[in-house]
Amino acid sequence: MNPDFFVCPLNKKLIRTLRERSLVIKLDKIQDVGQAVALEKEFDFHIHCLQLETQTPLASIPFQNDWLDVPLAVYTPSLGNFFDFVEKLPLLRQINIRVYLPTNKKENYTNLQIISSLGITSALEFKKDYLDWELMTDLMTYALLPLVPHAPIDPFYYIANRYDPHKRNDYNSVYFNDFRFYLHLDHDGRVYFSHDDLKQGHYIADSIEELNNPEVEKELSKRYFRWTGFFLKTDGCAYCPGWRICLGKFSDTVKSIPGCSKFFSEFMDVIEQYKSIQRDKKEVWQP
Amino acid sequence: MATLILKVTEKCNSNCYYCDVVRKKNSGSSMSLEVLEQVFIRINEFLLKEKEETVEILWHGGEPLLSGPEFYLTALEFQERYCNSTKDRIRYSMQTNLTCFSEDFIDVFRKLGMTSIGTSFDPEPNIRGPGTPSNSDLYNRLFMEKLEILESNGFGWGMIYVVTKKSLAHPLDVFFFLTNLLLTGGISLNPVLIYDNKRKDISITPEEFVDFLGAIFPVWWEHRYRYPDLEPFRSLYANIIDGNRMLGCVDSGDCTYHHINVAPDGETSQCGRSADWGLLQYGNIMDKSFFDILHHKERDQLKERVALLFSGECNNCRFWELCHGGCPLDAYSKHQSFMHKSEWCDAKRGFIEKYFEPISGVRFEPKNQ
Repeated sequence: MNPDFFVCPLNKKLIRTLRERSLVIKLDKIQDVGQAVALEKEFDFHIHCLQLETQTPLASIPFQNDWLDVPLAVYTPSLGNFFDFVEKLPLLRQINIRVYLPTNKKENYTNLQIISSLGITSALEFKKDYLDWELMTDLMTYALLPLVPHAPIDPFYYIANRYDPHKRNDYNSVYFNDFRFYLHLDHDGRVYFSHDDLKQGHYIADSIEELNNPEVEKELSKRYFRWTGFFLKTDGCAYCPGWRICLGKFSDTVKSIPGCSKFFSEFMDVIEQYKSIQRDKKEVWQP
Repeated sequence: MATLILKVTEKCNSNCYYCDVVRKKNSGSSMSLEVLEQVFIRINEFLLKEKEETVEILWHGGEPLLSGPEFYLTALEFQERYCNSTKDRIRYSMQTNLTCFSEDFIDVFRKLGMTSIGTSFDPEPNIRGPGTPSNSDLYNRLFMEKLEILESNGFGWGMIYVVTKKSLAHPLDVFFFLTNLLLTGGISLNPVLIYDNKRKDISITPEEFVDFLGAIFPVWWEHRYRYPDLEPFRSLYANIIDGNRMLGCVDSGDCTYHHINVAPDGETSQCGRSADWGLLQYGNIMDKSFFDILHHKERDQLKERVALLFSGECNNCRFWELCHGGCPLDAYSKHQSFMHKSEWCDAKRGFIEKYFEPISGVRFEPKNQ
C-alpha cells in the first residue's frame, strides 16, 4: 500500500522521517505557516497542502505575500467582515487556496456563494448535526448551474467533474479523508485510515514502513468494501436513489435530519445537466 | 452458436424458496470426470465438423462452485487435450449463487477466459439461503464477502432478480437496491415461475409482473444512461427503438437447434427445465454426438410450434417478432403441450402497450409482418 499523500501534524521529528513524501501538514496556528514552509526547505519532502484549522474568520486571517506559492486549505468558521475580506481579495486571488466554511452557520451557505463569486475556490464543511438540505440544494445548484461566472465550490464541483454513474463516486478526497489517496499520521508516526480513526485512536500500522504488511492490505480491502454492509440491511442507504454519490455518508443523521436522499437525487440530476452543458457547449461562428 | 448448459451438479448449498432444482427427487448427483471428459471430446468433434460454429458453455447446477476449483482445472486440461485446434471457439460463462466462491477459482476461471460471472440476489428475507426457512442473513453475508473477492480480482458480474409476490409492494426499492449494488453489468428482472400449489404465497400473475415493471420503467427511462443494463428494458429498447433484433432464448423462437442441457450423468435435453420435467430428451453424450443431439427429431416439434403459432394463436399479433409465442416450456406447464403460446407473452405485450410505448413515445412497428 502506497498512498499518494500523508496527512500529518507539524512535528519536526516526524516530518524529518518523511523524506520524499508528499505531505498535508495540519496547522492550528496561522503563524505556523511560515514554519511549515521553512521545514520543506530544510527537509527533503513536498508540501501537497497546508491544512490550516483556525477559529479566526477568513477576513481576519493575515494572509502574507510570501504565501503565494503555498497550497492552502483553510478551515475557518465564517467569512468575517466583508469589507476586510474585500481588501484582502487582490492577494487572496493570487494564493493557491481553498476556503472551507462549516454548515453550523446558515449564513455560510450564502458566504460560500459570495466567496466563489469573487474568484476564490471554496468548499462546504459538513457538520453532521447542522445540515440544511434546502440551503445545500440552493448552493449546489448555484455551484454547478451558474448564472454568473464564479470559482469552484466543493464538493459539488469535485464530484461533477469526476462523476461516473457506473462507479461509486466518493468526494472524501476534498477533505483529505479518502484512504486511497490520503493516510493520516499522529505525532508518533502511527498510521490511520481517516481523520475520524485518528481522533478515536484506531490505527492500522505503527509506522509507514508497516504499510506493505499483508495484515494492513487486508484491513485496506475490508475498509474499501465497507459499503457492502449497507446492502445487508432491509432498509436504509442501499435503497436510496442518491447512493452512487453519497455512499451512505449521512446514514447516522438521516432520521434526525431527513432530506439527504432528495438532495443527492437532485444532485445527480444537476450533475448530468452540468455534464451535458459541458459536452454540448458550442462556439458560435466568428473569425 | 451452440449453447451447452452443463449441470455439473444437482447439489446446492442453498435452499431458495422458489427454486425447483432442490425439490427434485433425484437431486444430489454430480458430473463425473468421465462425463466431463466426454463433453470435451464431443465439443471438439462438433467444432471440427462445423467450422463456422462456436460453443458457449454455461456452467450451471445446482450450485456449480460446489464442484470445486479442481473440477474446472480438469475441464481446462480436457480442453487443452481434446480441443487444441478448436478451443478458440469455446466460450464459458457461469450461473452461481457465489457463496462458495474463493480465491482458488480465480486463476482457473481466468485461464478459461471467464472474467464475468452471473449470480442472483434478493434482499427480501427468507427467499434465498440455506435451511428452512431460507437463512437469507447468512446467504447475503457470504454473498458480500465473495463479492469482495470477485471485484478485488477485477471480475465483472451480473445478477438475476426473481420477482415474487413479496417484491410487488415496493418495486422502486427493489430497483434502487439492485442498481446501487451493481453499478455496471447486467441485471435481469425475471418473474418467479411456480409450478406447484405449495408456494402460492410468492407466485405472481403476468399482470402483476407487468405492473411491477411499469412502476420501475419511468424512472429507468428518464435516467437510463445512469443505470446498468436492466432486462427486460434494455432488450426492448434495442428491439423497439434501435431496431436491432436481440432476443433471449425465451423470446427468440430460435432455441430449437441451438441448446443442449447436459445433466450430471451425461443425459441431454433441450434446457434445464425440460430436463427437470423429463421432456425433450435427446440421449446421452456417451453414445451420441452433439451434432446428432442438436438435430434430434424430437426438436422438430419446437420448430413446428413456431409455424403453428404464427398462423394460429399469434396470428396478427403486432409483437410476434419480439416474442414468437414465448418459451415452449412455459406453454407446456399451462397446457401440457408445447403447441400454445406462453401466458408470459401477454405480460410482454401488456408491458409494451401499457408502459413502454406511452412513456417512450415510440410505437413498435414490426419489420417483416
